[in-house]
Amino acid sequence: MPPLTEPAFWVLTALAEGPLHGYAVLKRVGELSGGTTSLRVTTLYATLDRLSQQGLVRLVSEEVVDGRARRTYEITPDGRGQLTAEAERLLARARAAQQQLQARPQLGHALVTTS
Amino acid sequence: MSAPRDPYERLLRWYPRAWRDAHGEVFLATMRDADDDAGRARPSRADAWSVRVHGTAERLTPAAGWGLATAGALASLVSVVLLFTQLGGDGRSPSTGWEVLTTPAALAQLLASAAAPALVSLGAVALLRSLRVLSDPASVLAGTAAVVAWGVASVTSTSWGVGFERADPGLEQTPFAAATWPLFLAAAVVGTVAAAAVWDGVLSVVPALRDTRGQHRPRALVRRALAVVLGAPTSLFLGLGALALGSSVVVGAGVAAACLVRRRDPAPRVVPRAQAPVPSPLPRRRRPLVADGRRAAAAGQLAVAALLVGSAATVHALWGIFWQDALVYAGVPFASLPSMNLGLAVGSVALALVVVAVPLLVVPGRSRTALLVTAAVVVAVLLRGLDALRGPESNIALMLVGAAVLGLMAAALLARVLPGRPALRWPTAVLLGAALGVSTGIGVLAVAPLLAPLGAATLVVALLVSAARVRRARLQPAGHDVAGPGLHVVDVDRQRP
Repeated sequence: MPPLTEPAFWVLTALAEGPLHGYAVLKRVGELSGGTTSLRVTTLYATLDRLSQQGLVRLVSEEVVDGRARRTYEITPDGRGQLTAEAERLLARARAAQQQLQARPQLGHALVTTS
Repeated sequence: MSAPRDPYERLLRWYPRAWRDAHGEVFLATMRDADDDAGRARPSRADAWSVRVHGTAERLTPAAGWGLATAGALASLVSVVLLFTQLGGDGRSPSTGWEVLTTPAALAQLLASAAAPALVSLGAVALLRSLRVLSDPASVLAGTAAVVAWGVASVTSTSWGVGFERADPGLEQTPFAAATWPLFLAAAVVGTVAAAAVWDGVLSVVPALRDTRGQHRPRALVRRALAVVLGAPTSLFLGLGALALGSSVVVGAGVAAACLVRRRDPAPRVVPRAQAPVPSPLPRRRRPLVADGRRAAAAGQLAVAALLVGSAATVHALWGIFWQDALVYAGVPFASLPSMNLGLAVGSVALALVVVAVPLLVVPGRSRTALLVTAAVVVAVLLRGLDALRGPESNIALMLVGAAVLGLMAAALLARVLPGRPALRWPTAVLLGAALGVSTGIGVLAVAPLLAPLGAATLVVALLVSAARVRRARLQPAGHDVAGPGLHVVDVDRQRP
């Protein structure tokens, strides 16, 4: 399974906690990424379209609120599975990096004490 | 139809109607929500550009790709026809360059030769976008740059032609003729941009160069640098390839067929199968080549005949000059023909025997399709032989007819295999068949008669190996894995008439 693209990762992450409509997804992505990722509306709908085709998200409801159309999406079990796999992949990488970082001061300390 | 006043609705026009009908209202509502929160009364400039790019890219669907590639292939045919109508203008005054804009036929030829590769490129971009090799911005960049590059390349080619025409009698160059190199450079640079955009998408498939969270910048920089390095020779190669007459017909037909396959078909066609193949209990490498002994015997006899006749024909074609006089003196029919022509003619007969033998071995049971394909190929091969028999003055007319027969046969086969409605399927199949007939058919027919002994020898060896396998299987003790329970092996030798 190929790694998720940046927008697909954040859209699935936003929808993992429950169904959201388009604009709510945009806002949630901004919050979850700590402001580092800001999706454009065009990217959001292109991503949702692609994820729907892949069966990773699905449309739940469509309604009009205050004169504006809203379409609510939710993550599918397949989407949840792919996001879980992606999170584990990222965790494994982060863990490897942390182990390497922790190993270096010990090596330095050992050199100092033996000399 | 007047443009809407609302800036949001005006932007939405960049998307195709089908997309607007499906997502338009929700899309606009989300944009308005985002701008309300940001305190804006109209879309930001960046958002507006994003809508233009994504809306344009959304039009590059596989269906649009089919239309663009087919139009490109047709434009290429038109440009070839127009080019031939303008040949033979001896006695004209040398061109100044302005004729291309003032003579309708020359202008039409210029436009058609520029439009053909440009349309095919757009079709290819649509195909790559549907395969998710190209992102929306990359698709728009590649498509726009390709159209501009082909336009400038076409003008470059005309400028070079004018310069050549004037240089021959030693006339002074016009500004248009002198602009060849700057035009060539401009076409190469813009073409490199288009090719690099495509390479960037292709290289993104490589895991080591794919963007991942947190470290995408260094990877993207390396990938883009590599894309430019690969894009420069690619653009030159494609530019030179487009100079070959009708090359856009071949590429356009291929892209159109690929788009047709890629196009989401609401009701996919199922090609009916006459009979489902029965799985054999033997491992593939131990199965006999053919289960029908009579067919194997017939194929073997044809292959041996083709091997003998074909070998003699090829030897005569290559070295017949040494004994041609003796054959003429002995009164052998057609011996006075050039040895290459006589060798090709006889080799065609040998090749026809091989063509008949192959389906006897590889096609199980009776198949109308196999019969028609075999008949078409045999006719094409015999036409090639007749063409050789007519001697050097034949002008390869019969060989061209043979290639056309092969093209028609390919078209009929492709029309059965390709998905989509008949109105889309048949033009694509005919275009692709014509392209195959012209590009591959002529080349294959030209040399294949000399290679008939190789094909025949392959068949003979395959049959001998197959017969040995059957004999070995029969000699194995019962219960052995080769001749397991329920295995029915037909003895090739015993069933010979």
